[in-house]
Amino acid sequence: MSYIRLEKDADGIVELIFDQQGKSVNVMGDEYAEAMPKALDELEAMDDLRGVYVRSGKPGQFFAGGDITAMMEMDLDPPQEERERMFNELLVAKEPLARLERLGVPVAVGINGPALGGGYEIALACHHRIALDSTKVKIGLPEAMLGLMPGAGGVVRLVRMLGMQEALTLISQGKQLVAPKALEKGLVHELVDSEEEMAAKAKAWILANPEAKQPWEEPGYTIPGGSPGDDATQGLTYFGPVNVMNQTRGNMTAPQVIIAAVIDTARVDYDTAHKVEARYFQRLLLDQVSRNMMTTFFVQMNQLDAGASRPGDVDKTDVKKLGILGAGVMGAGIAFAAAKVGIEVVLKDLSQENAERGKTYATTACEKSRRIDEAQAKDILSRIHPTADVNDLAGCDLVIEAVFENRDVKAKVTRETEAVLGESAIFASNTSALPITGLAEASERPQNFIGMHFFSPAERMPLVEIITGEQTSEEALAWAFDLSQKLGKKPIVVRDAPGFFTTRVIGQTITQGQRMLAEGVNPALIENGAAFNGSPMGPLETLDSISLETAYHATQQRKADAEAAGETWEPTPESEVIRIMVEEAQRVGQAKGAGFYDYDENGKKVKTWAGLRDLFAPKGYVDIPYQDVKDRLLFPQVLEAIRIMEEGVLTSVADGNIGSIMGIGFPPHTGGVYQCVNAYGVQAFADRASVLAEKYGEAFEPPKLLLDMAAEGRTFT
Amino acid sequence: MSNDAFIYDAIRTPRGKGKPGGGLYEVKPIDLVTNLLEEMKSRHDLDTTRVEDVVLATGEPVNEQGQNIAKTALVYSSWDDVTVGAQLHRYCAGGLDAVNTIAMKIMSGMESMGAAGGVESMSRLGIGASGAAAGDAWVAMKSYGISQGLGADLMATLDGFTREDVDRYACQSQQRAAHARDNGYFDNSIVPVKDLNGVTVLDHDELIRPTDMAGLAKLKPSFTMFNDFGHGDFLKFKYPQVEKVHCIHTPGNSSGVVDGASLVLLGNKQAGEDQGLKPRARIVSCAVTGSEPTIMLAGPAPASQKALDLAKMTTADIDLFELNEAFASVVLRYQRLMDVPDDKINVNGGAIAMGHPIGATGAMILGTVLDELERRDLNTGLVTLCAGGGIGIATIIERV
Repeated sequence: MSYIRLEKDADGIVELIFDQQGKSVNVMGDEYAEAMPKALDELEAMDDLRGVYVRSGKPGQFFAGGDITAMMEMDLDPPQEERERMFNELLVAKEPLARLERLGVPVAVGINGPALGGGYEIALACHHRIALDSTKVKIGLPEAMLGLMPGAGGVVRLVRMLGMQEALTLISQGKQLVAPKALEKGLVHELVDSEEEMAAKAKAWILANPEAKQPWEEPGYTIPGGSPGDDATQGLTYFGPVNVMNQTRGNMTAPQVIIAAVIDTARVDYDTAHKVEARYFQRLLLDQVSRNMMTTFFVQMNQLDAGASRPGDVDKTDVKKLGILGAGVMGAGIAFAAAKVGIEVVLKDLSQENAERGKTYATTACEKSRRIDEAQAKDILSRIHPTADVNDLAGCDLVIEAVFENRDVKAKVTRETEAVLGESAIFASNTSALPITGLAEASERPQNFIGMHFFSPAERMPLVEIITGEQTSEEALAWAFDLSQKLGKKPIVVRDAPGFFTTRVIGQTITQGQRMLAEGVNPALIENGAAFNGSPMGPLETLDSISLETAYHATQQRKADAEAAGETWEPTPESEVIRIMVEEAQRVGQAKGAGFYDYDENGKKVKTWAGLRDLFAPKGYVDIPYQDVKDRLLFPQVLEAIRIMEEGVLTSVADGNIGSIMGIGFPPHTGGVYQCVNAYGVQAFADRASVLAEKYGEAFEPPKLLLDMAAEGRTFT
Repeated sequence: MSNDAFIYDAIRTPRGKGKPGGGLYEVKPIDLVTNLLEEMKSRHDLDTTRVEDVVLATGEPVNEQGQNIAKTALVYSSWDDVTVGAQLHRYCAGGLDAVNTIAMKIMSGMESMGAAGGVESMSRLGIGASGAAAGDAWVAMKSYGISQGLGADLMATLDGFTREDVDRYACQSQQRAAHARDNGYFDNSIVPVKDLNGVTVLDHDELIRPTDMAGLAKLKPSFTMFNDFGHGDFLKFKYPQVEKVHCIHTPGNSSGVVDGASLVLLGNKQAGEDQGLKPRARIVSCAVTGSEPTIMLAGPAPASQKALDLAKMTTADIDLFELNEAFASVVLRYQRLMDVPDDKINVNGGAIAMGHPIGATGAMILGTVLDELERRDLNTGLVTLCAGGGIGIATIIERV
């Protein structure tokens, strides 16, 4: 049996059925490219054809989209002939859909499952789109999420169907709409309740609309909302590209290519537009940033989701009752996240009042969320049980401790909680830095003790950093891993060591930010350097948001500890920056409205504080190359991540890449801390690190692992 | 130099407010040009068969100002058919570039006499009327262009000029222009625009207005919208040392939007003598240069330096400077970089007071400085402008 079946009914309507052999989902790869033109040959040869009904032969599965794996194998810098060949192939690949929509008979499509990317591009080449009314039916062109764009006519057809602005929003944000929303936005024409009804409706429509054609083939057609050059589209064409650049700081290629393709395909006739789309699509196939994103957000994300870092021989676990100790912002956030996915939550704090306040956090979050209606909110909130009584934790499958970052406090709650828990219950500490093996000393069952580092706000941040202590069992890891996934989060697995992975990596860029300020570098350059690297926040703003006081007290504690131990304590440039800000300038951070930045009465940052210049650059700013500023913020994070791998604290490249992007905002266009080295060139990265080390110190010294990899020509995979 | 290029005359229309209701709004761009062509011919009893070439600049070469307005105007006017016309676009530098182009043709010996200038009916064809290659999405994302006015604000931010600095300069421009007008300093150059029956439509610059610091201080910055809608962040690709641009340029300290045209008659020595013309000045040197395109307004200093170097002159050798007042900060930066005192630059005001008819301005202010050199009996003048996309242009003239 072939990829495509053609079945003709008594009315002369042919069903074109996608049913790729050996796959659970149809994919737009080589087999499609071979089968589709043949199907069109047959259709075109039929002289009594009255219409075509396009559908999937797989129940509940329509069509998955392009073959990313094949795209990943393409050379990024191919020779001239290969570039020509690629372009011609792209045009050839588009042809069958153009032939389908121009068969001269009505073409309807039945969307019985997710129609994303290539799947929806097929649907767009049909004249009438019917979808199953189900939340499992998601429709859209999400290629941008992988650094790509639609390349099988999706841009050309969507622009002509919905107009430039609508198409741009859907494509550049990679929106996936559930069936009712897709109907509302005009992505499909009607919804049905069953596949049988879908076929009946499709065929009825075909018989009733013998003259059907694409709207842009109708005489007098104009692009909805206007063409480029019309007054109505001036805002889009003038400020649109600028905003694309600003939002991505020019780092992402796909958004740039997408807005250009949307506008440029709207400037020319339909057939030419397909060529323009192919050229822009090819630009992305040859783009390093797109490749980074496919690597990390497709290949490696699939590995992570499939449990590459989870012990394979432990059965799937399922937390039904979750305990949370500490109803502060972190505990309350986790409680809300868990209740949302149907887990019963016991939220314990020292007093009933505090615990109730933690539940209020969820109440407020429900009210603010547009996705949660009243009934759902009631349901969610009914699952959160605030208490001050430790005995209420009995029967929990897993307990997460989110109390004050103090060893004694943590030890105390560990002991009192374990006393009421079952033998097999897992105890997880949500610490961001305290070593797990040490905390586990307080436990009677250290094999059940594990670290689960959530990020704040826990209900929104997508990462959980799981830390295994020396004695943590595989079962405990499996429980923590499965719970993270159940909460809709991406778990990465790290071995116990001070700072684990994320805290160590992010700490490097903050240190460099402080050092540069201490050296007299213009703070605007530091903060803009971070922003243009692709970081969501500069190091100074990050410190402001954490609180300079926290950093100050930590240093004071280390100083006191050292002095008590009879050791000499030397201030570092970064500790001096904090001391001066707190002691001399009395600017302790965003919470108090004054830190490295000035803040307005709503706590919104205004501008870096003018006094920084007098304090740190009284003789004028130091002139160092802007590229050095940028590299000093980015390189040490990567080098630290390589050291972490060298130490064996983290072993999965996928976990490191994904953890760095989703946990601490490492620039996503790089593909993460490790992929960024591959993209830069391993040898080139090591060379640049050596240059920086000579100028700016040992934080930039290339680790042996990096040098070895460069010498051996290996990359991070 | 094998042939000197002499300026035999420089005339212009008055400048009308560049909007519906402005004094020249009802006048077609081509009539602005033909008024000057006819005046130049009759004033000097010119044998136009001896004028080989006319190059005219415009910033919006489209519709009724479109294609080659110089050639069309020549055909339509009483000038001989042998005189040929060309349209030139170098944004705001076009008018002066037209002069330089004709001068270079003469200096090379390839032509003996020609005319140059520009025309702009901003009331009928506003900025952007002809579209822009720079507006292409892909191109825009690779070239970091921002609103020109915000470029002026950026330059002031980098240079540390305040709202008070630019307003003070604007005030001075208005006062100088009013004084010059009231004392008839512009009378020799301004040719009243007449209609098809010979009735005068406009005979004076419309935009000059009584101004004081208090009034200027009340005006709202003009380019805040561009800053807030994305250009304020976009410029950081080029200027990461900037956190926030101070928006200080207003309608009061930026060049005005006006209609107008200009025409300069140039020729070699022989061609002038043949027609009994007396040269007023000689083109000493000229230069154009590209400059950083995001600010785009920083070209005058390097272009001037280039022209000075070609002439083996220094700033001190120049008696009067005429720098187009695109925005006040353009002049303030220029004075600082080139070390030019207040009393040697734009001594009769400029575009802040009188307006800036894009393609016409360069040739207009060449006439302004020549008139003033004659009135003061000084010798050397330097004319310079900034222009779109990062362009500087300069021309040095010397009375003969």
